[in-house]
Amino acid sequence: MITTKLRKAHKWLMTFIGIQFLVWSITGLYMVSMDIHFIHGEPLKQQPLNTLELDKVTYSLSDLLSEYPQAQNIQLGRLLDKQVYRIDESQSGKLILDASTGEPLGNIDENMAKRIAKHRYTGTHDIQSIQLLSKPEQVPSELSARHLPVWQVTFSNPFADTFYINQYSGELVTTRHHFWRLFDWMWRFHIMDYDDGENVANWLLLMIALLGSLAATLGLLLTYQRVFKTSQGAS
Amino acid sequence: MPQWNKSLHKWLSLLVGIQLLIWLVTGLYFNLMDHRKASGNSNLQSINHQGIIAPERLIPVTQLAVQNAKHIGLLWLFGKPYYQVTIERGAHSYQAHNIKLFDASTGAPFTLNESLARTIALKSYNGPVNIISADLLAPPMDELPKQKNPLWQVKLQDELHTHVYIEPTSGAVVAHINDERRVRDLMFKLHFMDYLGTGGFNHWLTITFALLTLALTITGLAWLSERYRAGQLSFTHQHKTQNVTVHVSNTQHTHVLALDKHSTLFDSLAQQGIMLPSNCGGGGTCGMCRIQTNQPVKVTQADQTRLSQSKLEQGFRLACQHNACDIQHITVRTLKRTNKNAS
Ligand code: FES
Repeated sequence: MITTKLRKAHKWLMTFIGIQFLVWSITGLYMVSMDIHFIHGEPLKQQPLNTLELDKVTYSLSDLLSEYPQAQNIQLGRLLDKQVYRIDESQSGKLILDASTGEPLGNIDENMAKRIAKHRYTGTHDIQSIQLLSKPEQVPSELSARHLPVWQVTFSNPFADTFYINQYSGELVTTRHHFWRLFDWMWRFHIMDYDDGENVANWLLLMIALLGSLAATLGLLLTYQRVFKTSQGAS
Repeated sequence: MPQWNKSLHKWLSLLVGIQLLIWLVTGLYFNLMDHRKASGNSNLQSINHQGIIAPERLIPVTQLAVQNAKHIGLLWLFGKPYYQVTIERGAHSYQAHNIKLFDASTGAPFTLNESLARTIALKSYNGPVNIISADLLAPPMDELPKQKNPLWQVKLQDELHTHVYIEPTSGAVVAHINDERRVRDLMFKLHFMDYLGTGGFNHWLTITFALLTLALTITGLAWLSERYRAGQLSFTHQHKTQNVTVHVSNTQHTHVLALDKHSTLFDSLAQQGIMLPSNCGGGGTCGMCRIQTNQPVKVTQADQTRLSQSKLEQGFRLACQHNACDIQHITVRTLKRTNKNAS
């Protein structure tokens, strides 16, 4: 009789939440079987190969600090074929300075953004579209607003590979493609957060996971009963 | 619904059942945990290293004894400037890198030594605390399985058994690993089935289990849909009943019972106190809930598998596979402990 009760409870609980078990299985399977580095788009990005030519750094850090005493986060690196300093400056914000002349290079324009994107892209596809995103309301859900302002460069391949290039620094801040976008949806369905997909601590997940734990425990008891407690066979 | 679906469901649940429960319980933990604490940040505070230097005292980068630099940053540590020279670096800081530090006012190579690591550890901790030990660990490290670079580990003497991990190539505090964080890391390990300590979730063990679990879910839902089609999952509980004459062969009693049309005979008889033998609780898999009728009743898959051809011809069926609306006269053999006093 207890088995009957268990079976009924298992059946009815699963009638209500079984679909979410299906969702958890499918989304979980997708997330564990897709290589996370691939999802993050690392294979799409060429790591910068060129080393610095230090003898060509004729505008020294001393020059820089005399001119911009407030400069912070000083970084010497490359911007395509140029060697540049990237700095945070309290008055002018983020600046790029030519490392041989000290001349400010200004913000990355569309042409430059395209060249950077092509330079870093390991694929062979052409750029399909490019647009500047600078206001918070323009930010697509796949990008965090802290990266603004950015050039959104979309390539013409079937998975819509997209590079986001910061307008001030010319740095490739993040990469998206359809497998990432699908992964993001899988994650939302997995944590049952259907509004912004960021909150694991939502009450819906709590309720369903509690009921789910109960249903799964009952199921385990039933299996135990069937597999280990069967004394008589069927006729 | 074919019988193999049910036995597949059973065997799959035996394989993945425990892990499924682990997934659910750890999932509940992630739902309820306090993020800041679980990240080990209860006592973490940031350190301001920024200082001031007369610009002319910085030596030019051309004088650094380094080749193949890809990137040079000006790094401040306790008010003193250093050149942080990146020769090789991956997309994440835990990936193996080749980064060197130089004193920016002398150009001398600089290593972040034990006493600096100790100072950073203490400053990163909110509150007074003592140090137990400080060691430069080489990967792999138990508490940071993904890390591929050497780190300073400073053990603190506090209630949470905090270990401070510091990157020697930047002085950055990688993590405070304390008991709260250890619980979270254990939960992740369980959720990701990372029993081999890879630090990630892209491995064959969890992929295999995810596939088996998907099969478990599909067989379960198929079973439910079979129940639904048999009218045993109606949401509107209308309790329409039907009179059924039940002859109990072992007591030689005959009852006329009003049984719920849309429940199985097995369940509705049980409601009336007539307990049929069963091991599977009405799942159609044990074959013990036999009843006999002389009416023509369809033979279900479960009847077919569990009862011999001659039994089927004699009118034997499984009570858990038929509803009261199908049959009006049955003979049953009950469990001994059944107590049915009504006549
Ligand atoms: S109760 Fe097990 S087969 Fe009917």
